[in-house]
Amino acid sequence: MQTLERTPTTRLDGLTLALLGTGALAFLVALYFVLTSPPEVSQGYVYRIVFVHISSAWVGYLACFGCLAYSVAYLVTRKPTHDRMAAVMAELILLFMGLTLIQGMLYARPTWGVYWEWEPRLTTTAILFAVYVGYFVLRAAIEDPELRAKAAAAVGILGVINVPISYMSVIWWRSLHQVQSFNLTTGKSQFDPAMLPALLVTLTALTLLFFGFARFKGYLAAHSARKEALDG
Amino acid sequence: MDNPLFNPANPFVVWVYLLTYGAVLGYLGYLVWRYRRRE
Repeated sequence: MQTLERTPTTRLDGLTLALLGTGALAFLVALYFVLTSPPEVSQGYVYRIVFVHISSAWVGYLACFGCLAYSVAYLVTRKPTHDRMAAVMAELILLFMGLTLIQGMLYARPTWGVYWEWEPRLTTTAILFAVYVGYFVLRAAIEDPELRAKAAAAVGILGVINVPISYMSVIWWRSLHQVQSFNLTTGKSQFDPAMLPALLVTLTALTLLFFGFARFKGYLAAHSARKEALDG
Repeated sequence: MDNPLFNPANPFVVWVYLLTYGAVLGYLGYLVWRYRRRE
């Protein structure tokens, strides 16, 4: 049984507006740092793609863990709001992992000579993206809200297994892709200090926007659910 | 410099930034549009 929830507030809260405002502003400021970053010794100015490429991938991974957390929360509490937020996270995974894949293809062409190569990092990222496309196919195919939420939660939990595999793929297998820019197991960075401001500002901007998007879309989803319940 | 990788206006870089900024700010615009017509 689904509960009829409280009416969401009619206006967006201050935290969401602050996240979106500062995120959008930082995203525009990031362009200045990108355009003033020095060329890389072998990739010249084309390496500037990594600033948005790494940031999009980071936010995509973050959304995968968000989807996992809300999926587990749904299975434990059976609250529809957790199911809705898991779907919001999955939507953001498609946005940011989709961007990561396209940015990667446009980065690969001038540096590797091809748009796509079935090497470990690209293949595992493509599988990750396909899993969350499947998440929405599954949601669209099941009419019963409870069964739909339970099945989607199972995909949301299993889908995240691919994140550490994708992250570590450049170490575990022979890969064309460069190794991690920030190795979370050793704490080492591949970046010259002169390149860090552009990366850190872009990363911060997209992270703020991610949280703002999640709260904004969550609000809209709650509003739609409430309206549907009232309309019968 | 002849090496296209050292061209600051390399089309691959320009396309990536146009696409990324268009998608992210476009998604924000879509959410604002949904918010304004929620009633």
